[in-house]
Amino acid sequence: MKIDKRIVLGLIFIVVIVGSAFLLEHTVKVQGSNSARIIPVIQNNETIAFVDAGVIEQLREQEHAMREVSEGSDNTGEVSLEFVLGSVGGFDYRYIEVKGLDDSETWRLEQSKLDPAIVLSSNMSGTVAMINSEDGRQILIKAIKEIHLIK
Amino acid sequence: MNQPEKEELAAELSSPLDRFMFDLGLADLMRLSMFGTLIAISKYVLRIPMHLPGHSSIYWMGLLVMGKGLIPKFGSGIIMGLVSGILAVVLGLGKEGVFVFFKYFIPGLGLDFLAVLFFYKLESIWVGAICGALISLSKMLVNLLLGIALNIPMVFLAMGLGFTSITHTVFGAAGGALAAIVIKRLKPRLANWE
Repeated sequence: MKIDKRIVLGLIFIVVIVGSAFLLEHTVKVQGSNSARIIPVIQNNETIAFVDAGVIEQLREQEHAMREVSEGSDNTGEVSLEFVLGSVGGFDYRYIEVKGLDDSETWRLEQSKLDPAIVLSSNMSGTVAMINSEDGRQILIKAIKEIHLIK
Repeated sequence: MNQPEKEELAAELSSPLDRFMFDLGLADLMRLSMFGTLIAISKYVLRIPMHLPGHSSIYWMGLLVMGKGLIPKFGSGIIMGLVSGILAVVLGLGKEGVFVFFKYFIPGLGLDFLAVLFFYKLESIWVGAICGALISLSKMLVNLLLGIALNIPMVFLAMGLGFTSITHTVFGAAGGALAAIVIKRLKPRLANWE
């Protein structure tokens, strides 16, 4: 095979790799959103961040390190919604609206009433639940699909 | 020992370092080590505030392609990858710990096979750019695989992967093309390098 043909093949190979990268990103985004494994945080109709169970776990570790809570405490696997929103760069909003995988599940609260007791906890299925840790560990949303920050 | 054996031994002893490793002489290995060191050091010293993923490929892949073009023998990419990978681990470059070695080694290994496919014509701008882009993409793929192995959340790994692949391609190709120009100018002057 001549060098010119190999150059063309090389260019095609590059296009295939770049295309595969876009395809993988799109697939992860669509599948994750449909199954609530990836949660978009939306502000002013713009997605400012994505979070998943892995991110929640890392934020939990950071929050616990900051507040010096021991690992043996009963709220392991949970991070406050307030801390998550602060970490993803959410600011200048009045309401928080959290939508569940089941369309009937929607939870809305004023930012000023945001309580550290409202925590996010990762489920076995890789989704994230919202719980009120003080009110008898009441499950507010079983599997979060979207978080909206409204002005 | 009979006469032919003695002559063979004498010939081997007269040039003991002609074939040190991968058909490379000791002088070649020293030059390749220099290129490998340059790759690791440049990554450590040059911190261009571009905030674009893969921008370091412009000099990283450039130096790799240049080393391979000036010492066009199989194994030269592997040696540069080995040296830069070991130095990256020792200098503590990257966030992957000892696994950072693979990020430096795999592009070198890939370049050895790519150069064979392109008949070692790395002085051609097209070949240099394609090789630079492909080895830059191989670095991105190693990053992705290391992230999966190290349990980094998929959100961090997959989001923006398309854009990252484009920047890796562009910077890698730019580095490879620049290296091709340098090889074209330098190669005739290095005819008696040995």
